[in-house]
Amino acid sequence: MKLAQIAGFLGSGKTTLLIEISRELVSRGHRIAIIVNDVGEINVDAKFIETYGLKAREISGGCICCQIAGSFANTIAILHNTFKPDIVIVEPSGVAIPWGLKRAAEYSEAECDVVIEHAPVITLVDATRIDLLMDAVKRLVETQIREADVVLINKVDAANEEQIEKSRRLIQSINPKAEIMLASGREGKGLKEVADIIEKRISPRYDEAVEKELLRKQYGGG
Amino acid sequence: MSDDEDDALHLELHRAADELGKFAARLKVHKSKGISPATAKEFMDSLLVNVTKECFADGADLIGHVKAFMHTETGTLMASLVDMKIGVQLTSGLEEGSFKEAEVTLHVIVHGIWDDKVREASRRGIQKTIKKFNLDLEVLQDYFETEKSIEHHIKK
Repeated sequence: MKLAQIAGFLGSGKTTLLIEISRELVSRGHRIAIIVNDVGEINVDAKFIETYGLKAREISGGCICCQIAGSFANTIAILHNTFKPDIVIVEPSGVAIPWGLKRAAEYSEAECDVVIEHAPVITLVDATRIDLLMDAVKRLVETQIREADVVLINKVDAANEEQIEKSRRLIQSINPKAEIMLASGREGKGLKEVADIIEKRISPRYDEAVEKELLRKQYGGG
Repeated sequence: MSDDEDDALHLELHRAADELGKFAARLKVHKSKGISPATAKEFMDSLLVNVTKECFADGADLIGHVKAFMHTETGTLMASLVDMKIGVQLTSGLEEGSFKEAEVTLHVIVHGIWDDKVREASRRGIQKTIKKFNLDLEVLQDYFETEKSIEHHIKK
């Protein structure tokens, strides 16, 4: 079973994009389940996603990468045993760490007969708000970009050329290895390409040394 | 890196990520004369704008995400606000015809003020909107907790 993470700051368009990507993957014959980890104990996104006829499960009450890692692993195991998805798309809250989330997902292998593989970690950057976000929540945005395999500059339909270029330069400075793509969830731009990435490509499994190195670079002065 | 250092870094990361004020509520709204789909859209738009304006009046400096989901017997309506200049984005699954009752789940996440202030401001925004549309309101759930998501990293 493949797990695909779609990360990004609040309001970056994760839910809209996730719905459209899921519909594209369903049209290709995949069995898709979605896990959302909204902030707070009352969830909005899962209800909205289900109005599109998609299978969604919500996990609330904390950070999916550590505090409620057990609930997350358990949810994956239940989905595997009941719904049998071949791809699970996860929309973590803004506080989850992609590498920590990989580890939490792999815990589910102990709970059921499943082998987890990971799609590349995808992070969305809202091109229309890049200046505001870098002023107010710089470190969070940097963390999400640093841990991504693919960074989508989203909402390009609403952003101007300067905002898009600024976003591109920022991403390259934080994570030179990241693949950068342009996307618009509302206009469908980049959807098929992202679906291809989730469908065909693999990202490494959890590695404690890699996670600690990422944490050290971000917060340990390394 | 020792476990203590690891914990300290993890805590630091979560604090950086969690510098947002949050509030959520589940509401029931009612109008015996009925609510049309057009009025429902106006209501959701006003709700998000009023709540956000109140938060900014109390010191918020950035919208994280302000959103609401309405469920009625005639369908659903999603409203999302990220940028006041762009305005509220609505996705409607409401059918034709009025309804008398709806359940609304509201999420408010802003930067610059903490949970208790977001809660107060949101409540004022809700009341303003309810008054404007002359609706009956029942608060089903009203939730806020400070630093809940990082509580497990704090050694007592």
